[in-house]
This record gives sequence, structure tokens and C-alpha cells, in this order.
Amino acid sequence: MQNSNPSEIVSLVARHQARLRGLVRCLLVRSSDVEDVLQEVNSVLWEKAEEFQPGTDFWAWASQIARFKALNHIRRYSRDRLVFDGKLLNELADLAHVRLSQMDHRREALEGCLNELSSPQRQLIDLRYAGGYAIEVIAEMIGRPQASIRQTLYRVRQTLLACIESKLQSEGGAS
Amino acid sequence: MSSNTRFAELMSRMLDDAISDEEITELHGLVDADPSLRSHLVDHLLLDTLLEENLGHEPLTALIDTLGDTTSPGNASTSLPAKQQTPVVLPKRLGQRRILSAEVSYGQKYVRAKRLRPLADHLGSTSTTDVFVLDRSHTVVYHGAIDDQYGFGYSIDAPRYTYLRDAMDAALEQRSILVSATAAPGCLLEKKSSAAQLSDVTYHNQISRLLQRHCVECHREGGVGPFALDTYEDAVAHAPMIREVVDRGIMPPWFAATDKSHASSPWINDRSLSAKEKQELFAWLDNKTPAGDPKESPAPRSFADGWLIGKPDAVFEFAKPVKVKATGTMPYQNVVVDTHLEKDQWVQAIEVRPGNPSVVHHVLVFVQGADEGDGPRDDAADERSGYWGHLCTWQQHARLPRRLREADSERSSPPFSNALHAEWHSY
Repeated sequence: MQNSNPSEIVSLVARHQARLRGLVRCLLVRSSDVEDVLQEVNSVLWEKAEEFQPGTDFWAWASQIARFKALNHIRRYSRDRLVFDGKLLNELADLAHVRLSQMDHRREALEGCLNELSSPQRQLIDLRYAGGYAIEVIAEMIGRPQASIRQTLYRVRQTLLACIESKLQSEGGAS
Repeated sequence: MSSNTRFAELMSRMLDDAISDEEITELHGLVDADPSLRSHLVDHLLLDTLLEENLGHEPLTALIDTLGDTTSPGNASTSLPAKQQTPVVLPKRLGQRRILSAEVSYGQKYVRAKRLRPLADHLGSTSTTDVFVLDRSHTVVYHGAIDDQYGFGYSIDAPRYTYLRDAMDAALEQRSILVSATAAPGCLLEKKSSAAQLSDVTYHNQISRLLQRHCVECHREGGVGPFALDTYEDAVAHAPMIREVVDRGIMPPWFAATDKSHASSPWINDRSLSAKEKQELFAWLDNKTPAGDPKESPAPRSFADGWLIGKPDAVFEFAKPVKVKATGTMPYQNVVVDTHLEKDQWVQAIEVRPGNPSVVHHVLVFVQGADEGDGPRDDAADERSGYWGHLCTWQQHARLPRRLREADSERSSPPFSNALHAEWHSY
């Protein structure tokens, strides 16, 4: 068996961080433990580096491990907390896997879509993501109730999703 | 309410980390019943991840990547190449109360700390027990020991001061941190030269933080400084002036004698720039004041109600205002302020706030003890007897050295007594 080069694995792991984070996030649903699980996934990928065949599909290999680790994590805390059941989780993982294969296209489309937002929409997104402010804080800053901020933010996200889809479709149609 | 509206509501609560267990169950029910909602769920979660990645501050992974790794791990077969990307992922949000430590797993347990060496070097880690608290824009807000339970030559049953916990509590509640740096006794780390990074200094990655630490307390809207220095435009507009006054040691104003034999300042509230900070500042000025990436900028400093020490427990004011001449300068004005305190009090910090900062040059505060207060009070009291603080408009506040506020201190004469004597001098 051809041994994989450690530096190659390291750079593959680094390049796939965003995708792995996305997959873990879809399974955990709550964002609080995502970084912990991602860390575990990274360390397993490193430990099992020798099992990876250079030239084969890294994402297929890594996403299996991430899925397994995330499900394991969920099982561990399922005694204390309510979680989605295994069947649904696997369906979500399949969906996420497909979406994440086009992560780079989606990221690119998102950048364009962000620029197309109206300025109040963009301001809200910036406060939430660039500023990292909690909804309570944003509500206070803008002087609107939290529920209304949440609702607007959700609508902006819907707009962005629709925009991304249409950009991906027109791209797909053109090529 | 349609299931779609309810789904939207639950999703927004989930993306905001505000969802309860009951709501998770409800969401599960909805998603289970309607397969089309599953892809909505996934789409939203992935969009959230992408937005965080696209707009949020770079995770520390990126910071470590850019620093590279210059240590040479011992075991060649499992070691990483000298210069590579290091996919160590550290918690991104301070809100999760995470401690940045060597606990980051990287497969081999003993490699962990080594993988963090570039980060430790970058942050200026001095020993193996050094901990850092970073806010979400990666500004170090606490650096030092976890607590004081162990030190060189002693160990006690329980810590008296929980520095790290206190710093994290203060940071989470957005209060100013009382003790933001301590020495961390432990195995010393070899010091790395950071000269190579000077060319990378930008406003957003370093200079904004330096200005926040040393300048914006006064140089901000409503501050006592004659102009603000809290934006890139402000800093660039005053660049020649900044070079001049820093070079000549006029700013930040700090005239206390330094002990050349010590590497660090003997003063607890030393305002002066360190040699490294000056080097960074001049490098930035030499490189034509590059702005850098706004994503790397620190969170803006906030000044609650204008107090620099946080909201004080007690405020003592002049009984009546002092009239100031329209032009010219005025000699010292002596004013005695009664504190009406019935017994001696320990003090953590004091701040002097002139009613009109634009006309006050500096203020000296003295304490008149209770025992001196029996006779008629001398307004021009002997300055040496109760000298307590030298508070200028450029040194508006002072955190007092630790021993002054320890209840078990052996100091027999607590400093804060029943009268303050203020002398002030106007421009």
C-alpha cells in the first residue's frame, strides 16, 4: 500500500475544514459542540492518515469519518438531551454530503448574492455574522423586538438561498 | 399557523442558538412529516456555516496557518513538515467559555503543545502554564496564570485569586477586566524573535489594538485628547504627529523613572509603549500605514457611562464648582472633599473626572486621615503626609496595587479615609 504523504493529508484536511464543519453542523443541528466534534474529526483523520489512498476521493473518505464521529457524539449525549433519530440524521447527512460537494460553487455564488442585498438587509447580516452580535443586542441597537429581527434575518437568509440556487442553475445551464 | 411558518420560526431560533429541547422535538416532527423541509433544514445550516466563514472573523485555524510551524518535532515518521498548514481548530466564540490551552488534540498527545508553538510564540507565551483569553476578534484580553494556588516555592490549599475565571466573567459581561495580566509560574518557554513579522503589521491586525491599549482612552469622541484616534482614517490623518510624539517620548505621557535592570516595568499602571510596540508602530508608519483586512480588527472599546474603571461604588464631588478664567492659566486650586465615610475603606481603583475636561490640566489627590481631621482642616495640608495619587487628565484613573485591597493585608493604615484633598491646576 502506498503511504500517503503527511503534508498532503494535512493540506487536504485544512482545505476541507469548511465542508467538514458544514457536515458536522447539519448533524448536530445545534452549533455549540460543532468545533469540539470537528477537532475530534481532524485528529482521527490524522491518526488514520495511512489508510487514505492518495489520488482517491478525500471528501468521500473524510465525510464518512465525520458522519460517524458526529453520530457518535450525538449518541453520547442523547441520554440527557433530545436529538433527532438515527434514520433522519442519516438522511440529513446524505443531503448535506451532496450539497457540500458543490461547496466552492455555493461560496462563490453567495459572495455575489451578498452584494445584491439591499443595504438594510446587508446591515442585518453584517451585524449578525461580521459583528457576531446576539439577536438581543441587535434588537437593542436597531430598536426593534427580537422576534421581528429573527423573522427579518430568516427572510434575508431565504433570499440568499434562492439567489444561490438561481446562480448555480444558470451556471449549470450555461456550461 | 401553517407548518411552514412554524418551521421558519423554529429554524430562526435554532440558527440563533435559542432553541429549547421541546422545540427541537417539534422541529423533528415537522421535518419527519414533510421531506421537503429536510433540504430546507440542511440549506439553512449550510448557509449559516458559509456566512460565518465568509463574514465572521477568521477562525484561529487561519491564524495558525499563517504563522506556520517552525519547531521541529522529534519523531520524523509522524512529524509534520516544517512549514505547513496546521488544521488545529480552536473554539471560535468566547461565549462558549473556552480556555485556549494545550488541550487541542492533534492525534499524538505530546505533539499537542508543539502544534501550538507558533500560536504561543505569536501571543508571547512565557511559560507552560500561561493561559490566554481571546475575545471573538482575537484580541488577547487576559494573559497569565489560571489562579494563584501554585507559585515558585509555595502551594496553598485553594486559590485566593481566580484570575482566569474573573477575566472570563468580566469579558463575558463586557466589564473591564480588573487584572488583565499576571505572571504564570511554570516551565519557561524559549523566547522566539518576532522581528520577521514586522512587515506584516497593519492597522487592523496590530495598530488598532495598540491604539486601543494606549491612546483611545483619551483620544476618542468625548475624551480629553484633542482629537480621536479610534478609526483608521483618524490614525492616518495624524500619522506624522504620532511618530513625532512617540519618538520623543511625549506620548503616551509617562514620566516615571524606569529601572533599566528590569526587563519589564516596575510600575503596575505603566502607560508607556514597550520596545516591541514602538517597533511595530514605526514599522507600520514606515510601510505607509497599510490598513490590512478589516476582518482582523478588534472589537471597539466601550466606555460604560464614561467611566474607565467601571461604575464606581462611590462618587465624591466638589461641594461647589470652581470658576475658571476664560484665558491663560491658573495656579493650583485647593479643594477639600468630604467623603463622609464612617470607617476606613479598601479601594481597588479610583478615577478623577473633571466637570469640564477641556480646561483641566491635572489633578493631585491626597488623603487626610480621620486622626488628622479633628482640628480645623488645613486646606493646604502638608502634601507629604497623605500623598495618595497623582491623577492627571492623561492618567485619569488608577488601579491600585494588589496589597492595597487585600483585607488580610498587614498594612496598618488603609488608604481611603474620611477626606480627600484635591489640588487641581488648569491650563
